[in-house]
Amino acid sequence: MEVDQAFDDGILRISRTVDPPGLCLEGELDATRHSVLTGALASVRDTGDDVHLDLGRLDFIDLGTLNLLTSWATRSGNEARLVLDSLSSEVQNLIEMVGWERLPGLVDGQKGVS
Amino acid sequence: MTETSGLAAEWAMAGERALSHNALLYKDTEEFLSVAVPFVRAGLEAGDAVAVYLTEASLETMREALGSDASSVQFADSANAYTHPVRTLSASVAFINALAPRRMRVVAGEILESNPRRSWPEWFRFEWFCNTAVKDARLTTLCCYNRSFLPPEAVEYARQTHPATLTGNERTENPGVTGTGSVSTAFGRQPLPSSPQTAASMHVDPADLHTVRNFIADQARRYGMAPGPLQDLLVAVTEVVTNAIRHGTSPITLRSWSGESDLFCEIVDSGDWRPDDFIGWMPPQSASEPGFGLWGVRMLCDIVEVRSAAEGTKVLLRHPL
Repeated sequence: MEVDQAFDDGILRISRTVDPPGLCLEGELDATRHSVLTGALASVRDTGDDVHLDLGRLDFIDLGTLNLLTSWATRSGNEARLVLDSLSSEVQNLIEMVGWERLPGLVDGQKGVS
Repeated sequence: MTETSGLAAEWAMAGERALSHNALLYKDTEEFLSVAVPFVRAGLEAGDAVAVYLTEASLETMREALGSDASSVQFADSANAYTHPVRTLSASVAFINALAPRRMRVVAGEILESNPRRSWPEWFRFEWFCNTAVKDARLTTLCCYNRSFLPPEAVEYARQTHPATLTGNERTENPGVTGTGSVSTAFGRQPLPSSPQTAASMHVDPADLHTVRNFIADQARRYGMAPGPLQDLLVAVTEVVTNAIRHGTSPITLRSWSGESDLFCEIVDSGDWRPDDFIGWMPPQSASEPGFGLWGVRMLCDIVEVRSAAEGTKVLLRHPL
C-alpha cells in the first residue's frame, strides 16, 4: 500500500493511500480541521471505485465529521461508496448510536465490500 | 363528557386520526384497568401493534387482566423504555415508520416513578413536544398518570400537554393543546442551576478543541467516569463548543463541576444564536441535515438543557458519573 503524507500538524495526520485508493486519518478530527479533511477528500482520484478511509489510528471523531463525510459521499454525480476501515470500538459505538441508515454512502469496512 | 359506550366508540375512531394523544389521570389500579384494558382490546381488534410500558408489577396486573389477549401485546418495563426521552423518541419514530401503514397503540405509565432522575418539567416538555413532533404518526397513546401519587402541579402538566384527558370513563378534549407556540410561554421552563464557585473553568480558544477535551477528560476522570460514557461526553462537549464558536460570540466559557451522581458541563457564549429550547429533539433523516449535531448531543448525553437569552446562550450537559 503506497502512502503519501498530505498533512500533519501534531493533532491530525492525513496520508493518501493508493491501493485501495483513499485516505488514512490519524489522531483527532474536529471542526478545527474540517477544511483540511475536505481538501484531502478533494484530492482523492475520482475513479468511480469505492474510496477507503483507514481509521485504525483515529482517536477522536466529531459529529461534524460524520456530517462532512455523508455530504461528500452523497455529492452530486457520485455513485462510489466511502468505506470506513478498521473502526475503533469508540467510533463504531458512535456510528451505531447515530445509525448507519443516517450515513448514506458510508459503509463499514468490516462488513465486507461486495 | 363521554360515557363508556362513547369511549369505546372513541377508541374505535382513533384510527382515523394521525396522532391520538390521550392522558389518563387515574386514582387507583381499578380505575386504570377499567380504561386501559378496553383501550388495549380495541387496539387488538383494529389490528394495531400494541405495546404496554409499566413497572414489572403493573405489567403482571395487566397480563392477568387481559388473559389470553396478553399474548398479542408487547410488554416492557417503563424503567428501561423511558430512561432517556430522546433515545425513546428516536426508537419510537423508527418503530412507527417500520410498522406503517399499521397503527401503533401505546399504554405508558409509571414513567416518573420509574425514572427519578427525570424532572417533571423535563418529562412534560417532552409530552408537549410530541404533539407536533409525531403529529403525523399513526399512533394512539394512553399516557397514564396516577393523580393520587403525583403532586397537583404534575397532574396539571399532564392536562396541559395532552389534547384529550380521561378521568375514569370521562374523556375531555383540551382544544388549546396543540404543542405549538414558543416553549418559553409554556410551563416548565425552569431556571438552570448556576455553576458553583468551585467549578473548574476555562476560556475556549476557537482554534483548539483538543484542550477543551483534555479539560473535560481530566474532570471526568477525577470523579471516576468510565471510558465509554466519557467518550460520549467528549463528543457531546466538542459539538456544543463547536456550535458556540460557529453561532455565538466570544468569550466562550466552559465550566465543569460534579453533583451527587453527575458531571455538569456548562458552555456559555454571549452571542445571539437563540436556538429553540427543543432544538435537537427530533431525529434527523441523515447526518447531512443541519440539526444532526444537536440531536447527537441529546442522544449522547443524559440531560441537555438549552437556554437562550438576550445576553447569550447557555447549554448545560449532565452526564452520570
